[in-house]
Amino acid sequence: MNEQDLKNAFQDVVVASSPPPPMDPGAALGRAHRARSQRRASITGAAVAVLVVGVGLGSAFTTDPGGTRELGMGAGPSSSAGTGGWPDGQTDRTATNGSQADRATQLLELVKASVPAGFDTPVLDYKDPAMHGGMLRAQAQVVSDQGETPEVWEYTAYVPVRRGDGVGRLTVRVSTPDAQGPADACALVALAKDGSLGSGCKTYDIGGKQVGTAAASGVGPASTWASYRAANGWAVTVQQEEEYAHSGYPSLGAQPFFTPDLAALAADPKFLLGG
Amino acid sequence: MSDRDAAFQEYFAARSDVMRGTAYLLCGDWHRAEDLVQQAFTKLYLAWRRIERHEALDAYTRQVLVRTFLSERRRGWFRFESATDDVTDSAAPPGVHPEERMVLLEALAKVPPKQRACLVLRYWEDMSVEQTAAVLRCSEGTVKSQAARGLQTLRGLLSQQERVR
Repeated sequence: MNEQDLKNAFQDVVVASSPPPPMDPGAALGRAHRARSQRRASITGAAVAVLVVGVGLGSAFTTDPGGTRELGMGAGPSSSAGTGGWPDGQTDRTATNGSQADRATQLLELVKASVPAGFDTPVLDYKDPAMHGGMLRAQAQVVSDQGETPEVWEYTAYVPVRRGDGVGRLTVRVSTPDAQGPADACALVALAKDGSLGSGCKTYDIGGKQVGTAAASGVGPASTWASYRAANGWAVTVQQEEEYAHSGYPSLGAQPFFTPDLAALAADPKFLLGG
Repeated sequence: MSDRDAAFQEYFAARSDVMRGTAYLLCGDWHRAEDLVQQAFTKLYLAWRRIERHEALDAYTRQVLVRTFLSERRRGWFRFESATDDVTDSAAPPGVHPEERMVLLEALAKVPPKQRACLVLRYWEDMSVEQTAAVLRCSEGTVKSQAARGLQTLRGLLSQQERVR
């Protein structure tokens, strides 16, 4: 069987298996409406919570625009406003220099300093030459659309976590406030895990902060996510993996953190990067 | 009905069959394929206003479909999947023997999910290596190696089944 044979075989299989009647667009729209309603309810709940907390914190975000513009919500006036282009002369969503890129670098250092005793965070390259970039890296990207305000920024740090010969990975993703993002900790962790509503979430109360956690199940390397949305809208997700995928290094054989400790890490205010 | 709803329905009517075919090759089950398509289109609807260009709709929907398949597969939803020929009660068109279809489906179900996704995207969707890498969030080299391994695995499985028959 060559590639053309496979193309033909795929065609034969789909046609020959007599697909059911076409799906109903009206029913699909109805399900989409229900999903939207559920999400709106979730966002409304978050907005109320933010407003309540905001009574105490409001001045920090409203009377010191200079301070927040420098370090704060990632949602302040942007150089892209009115131009329709990417911020600060970027050619795409990723900031490779400037204050947003600096935040990603700051996050990387924070994550490196967060691994448990007995592990180190080496600078490693993929053994597979087909893989791009170093294994220890950070990225800042704007996730909102061009011209959309407020801008939503996302900072991600990927850190190899080594013990002995084994290498796993700790990934931390921090987002500035996103009105379209979920507020509920379980919805947040499910979205981080696989982009769906998911299941099997367990929440931890970390000093009054609700952190959602979820673990990969089934076959494959062990992995756990922990997500927390702060009162000011910033969101943090920490993922640990016993294996650094595609790296070519052996697995740690176990994840670095116990789940409650991973949840506590997600709720650590140091990851709010000035928010 | 809002413009968004009308556009969504129009797009669904035009593209859901194609997406369902892709999902069927990934999971080997029409019912599950329809679930995957519904999930993908629901996510598309929620993200509708963030997708500026109409030509990006296909790419987004296909990406969500494949990633949902892979993540659910990893969580174990598909752990006990098996190809079956009783998903429909309508007759197969002439020219393709049902047994041949089953042989390929059974073999495809045994190919590891990511290799399977590579094969389906490359040889059913006719996507380039670069496009496949973007959907699967991996390097182009990985796509090449996974597709080659998948094809090799499939060949091996099919030749085994041929010998059994």
